[in-house]
Parts: sequence; C-alpha cells; structure tokens
Amino acid sequence: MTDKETVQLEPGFVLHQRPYRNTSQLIDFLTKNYGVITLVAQGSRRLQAGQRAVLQPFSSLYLSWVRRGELGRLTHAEVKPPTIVLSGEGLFAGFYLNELLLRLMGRGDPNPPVYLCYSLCLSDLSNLLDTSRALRLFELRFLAGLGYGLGLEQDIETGELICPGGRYRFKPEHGISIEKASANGPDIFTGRDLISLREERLDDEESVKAAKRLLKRVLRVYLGERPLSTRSVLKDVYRRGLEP
Amino acid sequence: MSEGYSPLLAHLIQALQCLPGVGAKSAQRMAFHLLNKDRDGALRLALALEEASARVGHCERCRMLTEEAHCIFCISKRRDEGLLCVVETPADVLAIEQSGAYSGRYFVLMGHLSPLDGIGPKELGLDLLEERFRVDEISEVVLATSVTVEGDATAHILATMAQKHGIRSSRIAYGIPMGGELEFIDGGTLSRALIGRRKMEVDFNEEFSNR
Ligand SMILES: [Zn+2]
Repeated sequence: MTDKETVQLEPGFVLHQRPYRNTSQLIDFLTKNYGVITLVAQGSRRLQAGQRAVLQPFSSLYLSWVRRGELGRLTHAEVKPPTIVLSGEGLFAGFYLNELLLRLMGRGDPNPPVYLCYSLCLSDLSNLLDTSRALRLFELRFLAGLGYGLGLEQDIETGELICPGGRYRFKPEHGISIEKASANGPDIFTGRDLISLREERLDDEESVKAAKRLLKRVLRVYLGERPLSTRSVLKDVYRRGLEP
Repeated sequence: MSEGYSPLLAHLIQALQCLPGVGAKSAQRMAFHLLNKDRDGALRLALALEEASARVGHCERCRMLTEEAHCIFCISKRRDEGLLCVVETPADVLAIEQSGAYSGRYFVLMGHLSPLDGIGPKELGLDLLEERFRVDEISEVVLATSVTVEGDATAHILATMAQKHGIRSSRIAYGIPMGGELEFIDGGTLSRALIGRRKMEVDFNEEFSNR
C-alpha cells in the first residue's frame, strides 16, 4: 500500500485534457517539482464553480491534489499571476510544446529546469516575440534539461573549437565534424550558425532557420517513428492561409 | 452489477450505459421502468433508435444532423443568406435558435480542434466550409466556438479563412454573465472579458445635448 500524498499549491500547467467517466476529466499537468502527472478533475459538483474555467492549457496555475499510487485527484486549482494569454499563432505553437513535453518527458520525473524553460517560452509567445525563435530556444533548453546535449562545443574528430567561418557536418547523438568549404546538404551547418544556437542568440533569420533544421533532426531521433499529431494538424492549419 | 439477471436483462442494462451520465445504477432503474411500467414506451424507443441510427446523417451544406440531404435551417427561405454562424455541436445550434437573436445560417463543426489528438481542420469539415465561403454570398461569419483555448484556436483559423475570401468575421462576445458581479468572477473569465472588451458607442441624442 502506497502512502497518501497531499500536495498544496504546486505551480503547474495543463498540458492535455480528455473526458473521463461521466462528468470528469483526466488532465495531464506539467508541475514544477513533480514533473508530468495525470490527475482526475471531477465534475463541477466536486470542483468549486469557476475551477473548470481556470483549467485551460497555457494558464499558469497553482494546483492541489491528493494521490495514492499513479492517479491522483485534483482538489483545487487557481490562476497564478501574471495571466498568460496566447492568441493566434502562439496558440498553435503552445499545442506543439505540450505534445513535445508529453512525448519526451517521463511521468513523475521532477525537472524544474524544463518547467522554467516551458514558462519562459509561453511568456515569449504571449508577448508576441518571434514564434520560430521562441520555439527553437525552447527545444534547445528542453533537450538540455532532459540531458540530451547537442555536442556543439568542439569538433568530435579533431577536438578543435568551432570556428565561425568553417562548415561542419552534424550528426545527432554524436556532434560535429569539420567539412570542406564547398560541403552542402541537410546535415551541413556553418560554424557561425552553430555558435549562435549554442549561445542561445539566434538573432538573425539565417541562424533561426539553421537551428530549426538541426533541432528537427535531433528531435526525430528521440521521438522515434511516430510523428507528432500537432505537426500534421499544424500543416493543415497553415495550408488554410495561416502564416507558418 | 448485472449478476443474477437473465442474459437479456443484463444485456439491456449494459447497453443503456452507453448514454452520457448513465452508470450501472441508473441503467438498472431505466431498464426496470421500461419493462415493468412502460412496455409501449420501450418499443417506441427501440423503433426510434433503430430508425434514427439507420437514417440520420449530416446535412450536405452545414453538417447538422438530419435524415434529409439538407437540414431545415439550410432549406428555410426566411433566413438571412449573408450570415453564417459556425458552432461546434448540433446542441449549440438549438441554443442559439432559442436565444431568438440570430436568423442567419449555420455550419456545425461536430467537435472542436484538438491538435494533440490529431483533430484538425480536415476533421472539422473545413473543406466543406471553405467551399461555402467560395460559392455562397456570405457577408459575415459569426464565430460561436467554445470559450476555451481550443475554441479560440478554432476561431482564429476560421477568421483567417474568412479573411482570405474577403468575408468579415466576428466572435460572439464572452466574459461576464448577466447578473455577474465582478468580485465573484474567476480570474480566467475576467481576463478574457478584458481582452475581448469592445468599444462603447456613445451617441448623444440631440434632445439631451447642451445647446
Ligand atoms: Zn444544413
């Protein structure tokens, strides 16, 4: 018999909701100190009025629950100021973040750095900063938070530091190695773009594009064969006139 | 729960539990009622279920549930052709009808956007909606999707599509319910109400202006 766990006012975010039994919901949350957890939010009879309105994705919340074993029961939720409101493109970017978290984070693994980079990214998106840049910074920090380094410090063959003028071949889970100046292809990057990514600058369009190409290759390794649902839905959304 | 019941009775109790909000206990009560007190009602119910599930499909223009090719809202000649209201469910259509404040046509998404579950524009019938934007003479689209993050995202896609076809779009206003006092409204609702605030048109009547 596992002990009963009672948690009060833990910072967290709703990642995904699905109906459960008659009037309840199963909600996946990202919490600061308990990682990704699933809680049952019982129908409005049990939860105080207004709680349902509070339980929306991308809102920063304080959560209280009781738990015995895997599945806990949400007992209270309230908005943790400042209120984050995503709109338009930011909403779709937010869904992508949530799926990424659910796919790559183990259940119940506390990871405050990931919690922090997720909150940062949501606040960038709500402040209408460049979406693509915000997403790349999140992916970079998220991977680092999970312990997956990119290996952008030095050439894995020569051991030399990256030089901005060089061209490098990038291999996920390995790192980079120098190539001829004429080298080209989907896994070839300039030293300048690699340094910009490593130092979290990404201050021009070129380097953001290169970062997207590189991070996509890395994420594919960890996500495996099953593609992200949000990616195919977003493709369909963009096809209908929304700018990517 | 169904232990001790004959197979047919157990089967009925089991089958009734497909209804939303109906658990084993209420299913048992319904089954006893139908069999003990209202056999005629039971037969009518069986027939109605069989007919409806065999014949009711979706309206070819708006996706509303109907056994005809077109639903009554699409057939009616008395509705405003230029107005199209997009809702998530058939129940939403009926709710708006009851408000009596709308007389245009409808489009029913039959669900809401849920990117993490793979439910996107295609699954919500937006190809058909796009066709209506293209062919019909619509001047305004009223976006009546739910007041949730997913509903907002859906409204955003619909507004973008409408704009592409040169159609004006509006979102139903949301926020403070009638009779709502601010101090009792939750923070999420209040912040949405502030973000979605609308300009007040103040037109002073000549009678009251200082001359
Ligand atoms: Zn119709």
